[in-house]
Amino acid sequence: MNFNSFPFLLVFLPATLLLVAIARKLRIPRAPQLVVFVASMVFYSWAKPANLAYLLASIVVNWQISQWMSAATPESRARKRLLQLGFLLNIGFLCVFKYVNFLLTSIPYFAAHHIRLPDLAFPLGISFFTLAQIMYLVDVYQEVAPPSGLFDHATFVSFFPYVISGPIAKARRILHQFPTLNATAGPSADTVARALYLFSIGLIKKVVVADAFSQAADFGFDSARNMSALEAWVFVSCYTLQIYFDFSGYSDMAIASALFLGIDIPRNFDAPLRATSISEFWTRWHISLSEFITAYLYTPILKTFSRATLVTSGVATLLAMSIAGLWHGPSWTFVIFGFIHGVALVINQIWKKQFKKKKGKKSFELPDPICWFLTLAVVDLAFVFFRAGTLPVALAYLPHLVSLRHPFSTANLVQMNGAGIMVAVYVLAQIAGVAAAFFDKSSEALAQNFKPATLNLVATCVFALVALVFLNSSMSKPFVYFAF
Amino acid sequence: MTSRTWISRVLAAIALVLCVNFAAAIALDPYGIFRDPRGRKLQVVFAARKAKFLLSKRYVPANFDALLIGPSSSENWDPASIPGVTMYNESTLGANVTEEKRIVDQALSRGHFKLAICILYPTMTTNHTMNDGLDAVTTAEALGSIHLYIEEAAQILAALHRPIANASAPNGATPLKGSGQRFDIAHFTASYFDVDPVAVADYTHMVESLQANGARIVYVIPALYEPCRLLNAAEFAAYQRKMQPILPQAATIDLSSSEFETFRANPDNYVDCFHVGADGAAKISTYLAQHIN
Repeated sequence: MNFNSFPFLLVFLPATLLLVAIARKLRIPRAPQLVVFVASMVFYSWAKPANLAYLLASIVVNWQISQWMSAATPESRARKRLLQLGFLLNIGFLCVFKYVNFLLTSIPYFAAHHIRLPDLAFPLGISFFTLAQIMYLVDVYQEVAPPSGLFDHATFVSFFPYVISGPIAKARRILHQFPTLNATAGPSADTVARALYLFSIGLIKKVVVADAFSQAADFGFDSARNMSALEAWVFVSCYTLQIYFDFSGYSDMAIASALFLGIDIPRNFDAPLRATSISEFWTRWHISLSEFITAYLYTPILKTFSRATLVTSGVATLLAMSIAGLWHGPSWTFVIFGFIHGVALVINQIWKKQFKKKKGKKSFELPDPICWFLTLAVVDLAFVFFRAGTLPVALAYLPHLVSLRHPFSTANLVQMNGAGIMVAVYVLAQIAGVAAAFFDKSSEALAQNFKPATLNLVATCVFALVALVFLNSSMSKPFVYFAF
Repeated sequence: MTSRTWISRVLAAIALVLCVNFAAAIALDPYGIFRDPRGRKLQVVFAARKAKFLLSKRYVPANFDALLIGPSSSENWDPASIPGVTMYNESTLGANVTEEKRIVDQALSRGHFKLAICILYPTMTTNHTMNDGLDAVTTAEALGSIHLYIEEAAQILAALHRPIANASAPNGATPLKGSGQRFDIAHFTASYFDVDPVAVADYTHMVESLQANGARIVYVIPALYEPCRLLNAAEFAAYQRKMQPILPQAATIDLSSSEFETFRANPDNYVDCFHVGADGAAKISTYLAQHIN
């Protein structure tokens, strides 16, 4: 089920909130949690009920491993073996659905003999709930978090606001909030008002702004001919903005949906397109994934080296980012996407640690606008591979970025815009999007500073109504990250 | 203001705006869905696919007993002169037959049609992609959507005697957008004549549904500007040979035949290789009226 759909907005969310409120009034222990769990099952299985079996199997297996781990004595070999078994099963689960055929087609012998598994349509959200459970197993292994009961674990993993596309939540952050979920009082009016405000922002970001940018990005990647350098950068920047508004809008709606129930889930974006370095970008973009990469990929890889130096740290960065790229999907384009970010992060590390030191007293720093511009250029360049789908398409796009033949020609932009009312609507949405992405606070920051004032009231109503009109005009596109 | 008051006011304001919006949609009803559509004269100014889909729910069945089904090459044909029937032009810019079938199915669910003119042209069967949200359109869009508001605005302007240029006639005939003539006389690409099996199956099902509904079918092969047609004559002939045996049998009017050569050779009848201008459309309508009669 999509957050930006009428079944969710008009039936699922109101019905869930109402049933949770009734369950709270009934004072039956953990009845609200049961309602949320059942609602999450409905939400997850809405499009394809068969997927539910995979989710439930993954939940039960991981929970059982966590139980065995907690029963084993600390520091015992069995405990470590169980953690390894957990890794093996989770990564194997991901591989069967996403990566086996990719690996087979990437190895020349298998590719030549057309040896492949049947293409299995991977369960929705597999990349997200598998990572959440790997983090859970590590936390239990390290005794950072106690093992939870099956009901709590199942509710945590399947929680509908994040089960399909994140944010990737840690068990220890969510489980301790279940008493609040089950409490008779429920969330305060302040929290609900903040949730309503944030949800309306997320909805308009996805339904209006992201889809307006997708019109331009789709044209650039699918239909444009003889692009100038200017056009190539404009189209890929539109894709960057599309994916930012698409995913951050989704995350806003996820956070807001959880807030309606009184649960605070991690934020995922913090105005990333205003970052002035690539390392800052990754502290603001898909934050929950960045934290996973740092804690569960980069650090363990770095620890495998005898000592941490600039070189070993660089190798760990490249490996971790390439794996993170591959996490998005079984394609070399995603690996290259991650690798480009890895290279940029390594250069950033060298710049910080070496160049600045050599300058001695006063470190050499580029002006912020230039840093911002360079960061955005790297992000755009990586997104060419993210958007292209196949390597040949990406490689065909790249020369346009540096083409000196009519570099400032706007023929494709003119052709894309054409004329008509919808163009005006899209251009307005795009202008608003550029202003919001580069000059305004992040929506999470806006929600944190939320006051129940008239201006916010008008904004919430306008955002909700405009988004509903767009939603009812059957123009909305699916979330980009649903594909992962 | 407390948060509780704020929430109440947000929900009340949204509910109020929605109610006013629904009231306006029902009062103006530019798609003829909520009020009795008999005798009304509704036009299309925007998003023709969705508009014709929604008009075909009640307005077309209530006011018309014949259909003209085709792509943009028949979009501006005015079928009013065909005697014995009241025809609605369902033709849409760039439409393939799968899209036309979705629109026609709406009309068939409520109406009875004596006659259906089906254009037989390669672009109708090249693919079966539904564009401009036609696959997802629902009646709910007649209660609040961008295209509804544009139709409502056009209706209000028309009431103020400021009609929108390029709006369709109440029978669906739509003047061609753009101005001036432009003839790109060239060989068409091979993909222009691709035949998509799904589209062909949809064409067959659409014709069978129309026949089951009681409609007499007349296929019309449109008239291309002669220099263009001659360059691609072999491909067009091959396409017709391929399609005629597949589709249900019915009468065919071939505007690409020698009988119509004088018309096709006259550039004044055309705006480009594919589309006839207003005068050309009038001549074709007269010709069809004589022959179908």
